[in-house]
Amino acid sequence: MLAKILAEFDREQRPLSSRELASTFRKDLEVIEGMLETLVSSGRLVELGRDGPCDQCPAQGLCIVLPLGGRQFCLVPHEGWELPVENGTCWEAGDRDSS
Amino acid sequence: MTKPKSNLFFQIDYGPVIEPEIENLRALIEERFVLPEQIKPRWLAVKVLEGETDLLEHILGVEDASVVLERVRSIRKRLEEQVPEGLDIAMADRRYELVGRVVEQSLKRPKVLASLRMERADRVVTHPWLGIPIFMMVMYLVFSLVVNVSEPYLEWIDAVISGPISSWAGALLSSIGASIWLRGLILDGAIAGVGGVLIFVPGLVVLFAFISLLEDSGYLARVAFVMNRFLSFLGLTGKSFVPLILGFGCAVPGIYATRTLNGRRDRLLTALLVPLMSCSARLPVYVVFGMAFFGQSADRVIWGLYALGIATAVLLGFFYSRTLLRSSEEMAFLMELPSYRLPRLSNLWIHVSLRTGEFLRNAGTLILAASLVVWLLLNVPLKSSSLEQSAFGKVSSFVSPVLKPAGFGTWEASGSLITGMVAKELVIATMTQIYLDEPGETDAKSEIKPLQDLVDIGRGFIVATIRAGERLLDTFTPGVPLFAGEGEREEEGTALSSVLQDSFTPLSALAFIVFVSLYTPCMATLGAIRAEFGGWWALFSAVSQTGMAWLVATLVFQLGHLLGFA
Repeated sequence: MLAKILAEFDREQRPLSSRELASTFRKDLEVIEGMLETLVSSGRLVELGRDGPCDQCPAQGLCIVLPLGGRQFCLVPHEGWELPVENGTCWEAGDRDSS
Repeated sequence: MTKPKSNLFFQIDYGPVIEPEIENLRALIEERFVLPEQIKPRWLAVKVLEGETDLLEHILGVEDASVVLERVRSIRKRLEEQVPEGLDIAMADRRYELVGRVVEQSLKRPKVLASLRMERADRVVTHPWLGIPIFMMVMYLVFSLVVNVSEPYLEWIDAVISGPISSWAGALLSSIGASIWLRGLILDGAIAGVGGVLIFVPGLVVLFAFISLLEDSGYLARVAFVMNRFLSFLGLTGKSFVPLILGFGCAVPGIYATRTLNGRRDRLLTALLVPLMSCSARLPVYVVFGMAFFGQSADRVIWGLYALGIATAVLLGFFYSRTLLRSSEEMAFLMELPSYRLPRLSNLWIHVSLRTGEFLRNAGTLILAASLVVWLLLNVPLKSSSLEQSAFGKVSSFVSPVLKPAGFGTWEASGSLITGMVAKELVIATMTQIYLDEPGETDAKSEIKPLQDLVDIGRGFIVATIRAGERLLDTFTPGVPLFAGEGEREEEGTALSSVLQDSFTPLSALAFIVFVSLYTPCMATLGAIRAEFGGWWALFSAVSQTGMAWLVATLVFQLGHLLGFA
């Protein structure tokens, strides 16, 4: 399964959300997220937009953005693949605007 | 007490390629070294193959570990070609397979609708033309339930606060020999002000519960999808729907949720529209006026106010997107629709308790402090003959002529709207203080009977629950009053509702709640806009919304007047 997930990233060549992958592989979101975390800790993937600064957000438990979008992951940067710059965190929106 | 079985054992099978190598390594470790009892050779072999060499050195020492590590290097080299995804990934995969099998056999899953039925449901609720009317109908049903089901509880809490709680507090203050001003501050300031707001907690609980049910069932995500087409009319995507729907609870998280949007223009435009979604703090105003003036049509009037907020947001968004905030590019909206699910009670509890807790915290801090300030201003100077002559009354009277064309140019209405600029809950808290508490009324309190009061409170709750059940059934059988006649319904309401009937006509009441639904966002929301987009945009939001609220309320009142409504 982990190999299939990596293959999906290779095929799509774009960041994928945990929700998207859960739907593709017909697995529970929590299961997929556990696998994605394993791939992150093994250095195969990086997580985008998992904002630590979410802790400071007033929306907190009221936020329905995260459940809708799911967590975003992509392959670690390598030759022919760079981290997409537009995928910052919610918190960095102001910085994105000013840049 | 039973002892855990120590011989319970299972072994993960790492497959025909990796398993023999693990076995070789295990044999080597077992033959050459004596391990501590709690460490199994196979476990150590697996860990080392996965690359945890530090562990081996820690257990065996650097010198002995080097013997094993040499073997490990040769094994890994051999396996590299046969396991292209990487040894660690292949081994983790085997463990996930085992976990998957265990979960499959042991987990009882919540019911998910079969995919075919889900597709059929999606065909209807995400239909290009039916999707939005269905959403409007769902919201109408929700607001009907909010008004009808919560009303009996609302009247019950109103009676408890103005009856036993006020009496008990009065008796307590008398027993400690509190001065008249302290009695006034506590009874007419704190209890009347905060109590006037707290009585709406049942309505908010019902509203939050239904929003949570819609969210948890997967329906709200579909509405975001449907809204994409609608919002593209404004040059926004369905992504903006999320902050907008958050605005129905509270505009502040809605404003911060705009951070998820791409580009300042989309974020700013959405943030300017979020405060037009009627937040839960405005609901008490709608309910009080609805019950006082519109009887059984109260739910339709309240639904109309929510719809007015949405319609105004669309028109303003259309205007802004073609003038101040032009869109330069078309953005695609990608969103994964979650499966339909039967909502879970645990989720419902978390959402309702979080949101209600926030409201209660607000009532215990901001509203309490503001109620005390309003009470002080209503009683300064001390020798004023009426509330209108107080500092608060004079400031409010200064503003009231501006509101005359809209039909509610009284100092009481103006004063309530001024405090509502701080927080919308204060509109009702202020009205309760102005309309229900005349100066000098705080001393005379009848003798208290705690036991009888408690029996009455319990009895009142049971009656309210029975009536709420009846209303629930009535809501699902529109036009067929199963339990209560129309006359009976119209006699009900809070103490404030009854007093308001002497100060407003139905038409001026309608104009007033239209104004409340559209005028300036509260201080917290303006603070959020300022923090995100700067002070000028916060000022723009306050001024433009208040101006528009005045215009729409005046139109409602003047047109209604021309058409012969009173």
